[in-house]
Amino acid sequence: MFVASYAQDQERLSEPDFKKEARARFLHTFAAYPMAVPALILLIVILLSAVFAPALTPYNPFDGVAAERLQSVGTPGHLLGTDEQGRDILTRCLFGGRYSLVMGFLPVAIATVIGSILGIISGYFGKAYAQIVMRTLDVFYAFPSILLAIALSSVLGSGLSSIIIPISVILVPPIARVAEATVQDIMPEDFIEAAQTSGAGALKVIVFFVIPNTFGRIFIYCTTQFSVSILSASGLTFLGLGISAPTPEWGSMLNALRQQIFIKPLLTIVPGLFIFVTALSVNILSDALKDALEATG
Amino acid sequence: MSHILEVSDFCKSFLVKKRLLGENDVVSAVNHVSFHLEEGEVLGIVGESGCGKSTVARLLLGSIRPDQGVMRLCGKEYDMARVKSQDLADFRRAMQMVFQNPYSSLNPKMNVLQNITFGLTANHIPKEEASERARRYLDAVGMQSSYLNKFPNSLSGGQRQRVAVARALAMEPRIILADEPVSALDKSVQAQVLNLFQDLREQFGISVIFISHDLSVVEYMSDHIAVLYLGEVIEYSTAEEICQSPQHPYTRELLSSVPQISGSAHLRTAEREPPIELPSPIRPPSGCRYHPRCPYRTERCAQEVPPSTAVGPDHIVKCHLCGN
Repeated sequence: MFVASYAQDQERLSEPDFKKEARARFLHTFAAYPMAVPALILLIVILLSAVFAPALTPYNPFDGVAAERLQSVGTPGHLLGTDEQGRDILTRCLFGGRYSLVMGFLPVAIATVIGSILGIISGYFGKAYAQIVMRTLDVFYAFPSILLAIALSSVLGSGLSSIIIPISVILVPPIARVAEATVQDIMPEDFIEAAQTSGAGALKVIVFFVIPNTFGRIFIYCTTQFSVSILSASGLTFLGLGISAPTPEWGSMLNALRQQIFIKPLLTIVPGLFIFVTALSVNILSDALKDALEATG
Repeated sequence: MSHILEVSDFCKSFLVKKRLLGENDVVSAVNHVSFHLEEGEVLGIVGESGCGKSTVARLLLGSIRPDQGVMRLCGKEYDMARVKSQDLADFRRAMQMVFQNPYSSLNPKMNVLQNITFGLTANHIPKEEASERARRYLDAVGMQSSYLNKFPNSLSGGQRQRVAVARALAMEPRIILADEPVSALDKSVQAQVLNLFQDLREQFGISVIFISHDLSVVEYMSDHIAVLYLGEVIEYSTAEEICQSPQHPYTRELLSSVPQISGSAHLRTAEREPPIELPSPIRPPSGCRYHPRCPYRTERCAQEVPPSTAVGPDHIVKCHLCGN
């Protein structure tokens, strides 16, 4: 009797229920992480305000009013004050988000693709191939990564690509390392050997067996690199690389306002605050995602 | 009956440590192993852990390359040390493996249907036929087709092992290689899976190589038994012969260590004088590899490697004391 009813229960727990349950557990673990939901909301707000910047502010980010230079934070009409040319800082930060977020996201996306491919292939094939790839990537660890980025960026000249390419380059080695280690972790599993001995080629085994079972962990690591990317990009533009003067961008704004630090100390912090809040939110989100993925398995 | 599989003189050693001076540390995991399998029969390979059972399985599948060895499968001869990838794909279609741990042998990101059909579509079998076969063989292992869209993590160990068996069957191989297929399962489930193997063998006439450390399981399953000790086949015969009149001292030792409900196996092992643990395969004992543990050892055992001698029809033993 008992056995029969148990079997029926098993039968009733059909697959959609199982998936729904997994999704519910994912969302629950994610939301339970401290500050995960506020961080998510904050990031969405920053993203949307960058996208819809022209609709949100009456000012132009390039036109300053000379009479209204260096207004304090909280001045009516200029909520976050004005800079040394009399331009509204809030407006410039909103527009600047467009550049900063792209410079945070694109290098991570590029490095994730290249780094994962290199790492997965070395992890899967091992031996000489892994030695060649991984030891070549180790060369990049010989330089402090930000110095390498500065050198590459100054060679590439100006423009958005001279920020995105160097940062992609410095992100590839750590992502490839994590991908390689993750793949090596699952290689002893029997299902890999089962797939290999079923007569499938290496590409099929990688696409259907290796990637689905490693992607979560690699992806989580990549999201932590998002804040590294934003900070590096701001660092490069702070140094005057890549983005040229009138273009609003958090890093270069920070540099311009730096000169006013003794006159209006509060003003100089504002673009830095945007960088800080964005990077922090992304880090909290990736930690929460990691917990949630681990809980769902 | 004809030999569907003949394995002759398989050797494999693994490099453990490279030394600057002197000889490298090498484990000879499999040492001149030969056996054959007849159409439709079950061959049991038995031995304690570390004796090279799983290495034999991996050598047969070609996932490890042996140092030497020739395999004759369905009338075709393969030199396993120099086998090409085309040949590998060829004989892997004829031989499928069921792994020890069902919790690791199924891809957790694929449902049962995808797990079973992956190997089929990889071998260019059309999708419709592949899912038709998945349905048929899942039914053959006693699971309803409602399980097809379930994922492995919602299945029990026994169910997973059934799926793994169905996956192997779906390739319609001539031989199934089962590497300790029940040792990761509960006793009650073990019986189910063992009976499943028996049923399938009757139903499909498949030959089975059944690897286990558990002599009672192998005895129940097999027509022939090969006893492996430190990478060598030390006794080969029919299951009946092995269990009724074992010749090699090690086989006797194995048989007497099978715990009986009423018996007192622990007493018997405590009385033994020779060392209990397996000697290091890095420096295997001289002469007969079993002699340090053997209660009947003589001077000769430490010096000469015993030849394989036939002590009866279908009964081969590697021991100085047997056969003369």
